[in-house]
Amino acid sequence: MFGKHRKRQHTDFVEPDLPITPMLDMTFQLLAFFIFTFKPQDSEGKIALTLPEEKGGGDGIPDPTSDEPKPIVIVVTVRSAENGKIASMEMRIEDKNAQAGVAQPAEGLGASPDALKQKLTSKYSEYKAANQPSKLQFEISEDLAWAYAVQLIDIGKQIGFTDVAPTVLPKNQD
Amino acid sequence: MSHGKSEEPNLVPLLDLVLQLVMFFMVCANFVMEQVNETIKLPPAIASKPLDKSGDKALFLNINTKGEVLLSQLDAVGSDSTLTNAEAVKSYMIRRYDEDMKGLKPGEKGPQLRIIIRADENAKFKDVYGIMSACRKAGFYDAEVRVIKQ
Repeated sequence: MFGKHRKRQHTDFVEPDLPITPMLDMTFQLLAFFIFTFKPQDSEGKIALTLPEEKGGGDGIPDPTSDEPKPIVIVVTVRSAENGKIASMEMRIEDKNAQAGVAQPAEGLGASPDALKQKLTSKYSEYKAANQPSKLQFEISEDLAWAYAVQLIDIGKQIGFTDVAPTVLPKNQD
Repeated sequence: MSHGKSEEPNLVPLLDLVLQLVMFFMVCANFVMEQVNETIKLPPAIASKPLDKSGDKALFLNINTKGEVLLSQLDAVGSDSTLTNAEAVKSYMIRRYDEDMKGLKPGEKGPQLRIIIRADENAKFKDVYGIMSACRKAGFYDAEVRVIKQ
């Protein structure tokens, strides 16, 4: 009973047929869908910023025990035109002299970001050579378009300022 | 004269190639960009840094030209998806800050939630600044400003 072997029946060899054409049709449809919906995005980058502190906040009180030299603050005042573009810029330095009441007058820079970049580059190099820490502050008119504000912050970061603080220009100075 | 023999084109290599193309487009397709609003046109910047792919918690504040904050469906749970003024942003951010601080693990200090500001290039500075101030008042210190890398 167990020792019996069934005699295998010989059948004609049939080559398996895989229909590729419908699969190819479907794949082409998928390909067309992805080609039409493909939208390469511009690559995003980031600029790290410290959020603006409130006036009179705890961070604004100087620490009398600190030996670190107080950074010189380069303040750039930016006024906007009606269309949101830069109308004019001024630069002033807030250092020991300014605190003592003998501040230098603000220097007009026109509306060109390139002129600002040149001026800031020379100031940054000057303070860096003297080993004097410095920070950059923008006082920006309320109606300036965000693109121009970012352009100014970008200039500061390109030059090498690590501390770039944008603030809003007080209404009475606008 | 040769005898007629039916020959079919070999479609397998073509299918391989097309499937590879399909794979490429599937991988490139951004299906999970829920937190990013496509209508926001970001300003360009040269000194920007590349994005890190860290898995930190992040909150995207998409600011349109009107100065409104557009939240994603993910972030808008329990609040409106559009925050129309700085006061609404402040109360929303205070809630997020409290939630974040409650979820701190032992040894962690300060808010762990990353604030990502995606403001339209035509938004007014006062609107963006107002939202940044509201975030600071809620307790956050730092933020990332998103730009188009040049």
